[in-house]
Amino acid sequence: MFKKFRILWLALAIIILGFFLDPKGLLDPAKNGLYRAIRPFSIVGNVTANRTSIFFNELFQLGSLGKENQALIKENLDLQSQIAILKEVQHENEILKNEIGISQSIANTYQISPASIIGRASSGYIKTVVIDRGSKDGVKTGQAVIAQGYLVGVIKQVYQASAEVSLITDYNSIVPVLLQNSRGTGLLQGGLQGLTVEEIPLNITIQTGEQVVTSGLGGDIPAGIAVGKVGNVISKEGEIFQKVTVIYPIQIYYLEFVFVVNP
Amino acid sequence: MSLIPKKIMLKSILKIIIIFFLTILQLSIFSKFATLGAFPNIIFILAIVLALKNRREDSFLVAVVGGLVLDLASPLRFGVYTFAILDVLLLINFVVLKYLPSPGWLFTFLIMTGSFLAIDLFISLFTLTWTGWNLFFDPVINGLWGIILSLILAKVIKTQSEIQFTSNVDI
Repeated sequence: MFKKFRILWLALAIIILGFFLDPKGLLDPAKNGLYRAIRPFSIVGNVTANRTSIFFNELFQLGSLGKENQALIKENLDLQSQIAILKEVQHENEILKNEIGISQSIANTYQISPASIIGRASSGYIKTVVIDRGSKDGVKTGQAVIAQGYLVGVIKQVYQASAEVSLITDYNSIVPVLLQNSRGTGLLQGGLQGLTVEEIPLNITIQTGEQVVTSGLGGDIPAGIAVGKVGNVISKEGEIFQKVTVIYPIQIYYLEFVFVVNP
Repeated sequence: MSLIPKKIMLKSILKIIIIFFLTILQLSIFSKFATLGAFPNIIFILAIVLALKNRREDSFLVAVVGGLVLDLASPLRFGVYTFAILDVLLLINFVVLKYLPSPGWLFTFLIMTGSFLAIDLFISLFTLTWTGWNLFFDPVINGLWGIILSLILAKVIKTQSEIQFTSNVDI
């Protein structure tokens, strides 16, 4: 019996051992090593996977895409297909320059450090990514992570040379935010219906299209980081708080680089 | 006598390396192929397909090696993925395959979808997260991938009974 299922018994022993060692951080060196192993594949795969992924996603969203947008993306795909390994380095540099340009206002206020996305959660509904910056780079739990000037997530767990980022689109993500024009405060939540801001007081007159920014209340997320624009008010009559959808301009799945904000 | 175990050992090591490599690809590349938030979990699909092809030992090897690596990279507590896939594999091996020894593509899809539904439900309960329609969409996507992988593997690998038959003929 034992010999027949020895791999299962071995797995069970490892699971039990790991289950209790994990919260104490004793698996962190192994996790760190694994993320290092993932990194080269992630970098090489980023462009090809993004290209294919964009193509298939467009097939599902053809109705909602404008002709101009399609033409631009096709042109971009054609150009990208001609890019070889050396061009990939150039591509990374361009993205970094672009990111730095857009994030300049934040960079003037806070210290930001660039990071590459090297891994993603292996389940569709756990929205986390792994970045190649860790405790040795000064990354700490709770720090905000931005891309193209917008909030992307919050550092959840830090390892020596990598860190896990819980994305704002995650079901369990809650970030205190502020509606910039109406000055209404609320809680930004992820989930299936997209990003929403909940618990906005009833006396606030919400304007469609106004900017949603972080409020800076609680945690290490500084105030004033853009999150998106107000879409629609979706709260119903009789509810004690207002609820709005948020139009988020970043396509997180296609991100390659992010910035960790050091408040 | 000494040659055969060495061969088997080398074969096992090679399998583990391939599984590890596939898991790395799962974490770095396959996770980018999301359709409405659901993407294929190639490790779990492979483990289930191998089980359905009566390759029990290989399916458990994929589940254990792949599951443990996925667990290491997972934001969840260590062991959740491996535990979930092993439960499903035990159920398939000792219950489903007794009634459906060699399932066709439709049953492969149904078993795969059911398995992923069970895994997703387990993870949902563990994380106390209700994922709505994604809970059903994710298994269907993986079920479809399961059919594709099953058809590919049908061309490449032999089932345990075919191996048995071939060895008998040789004797």
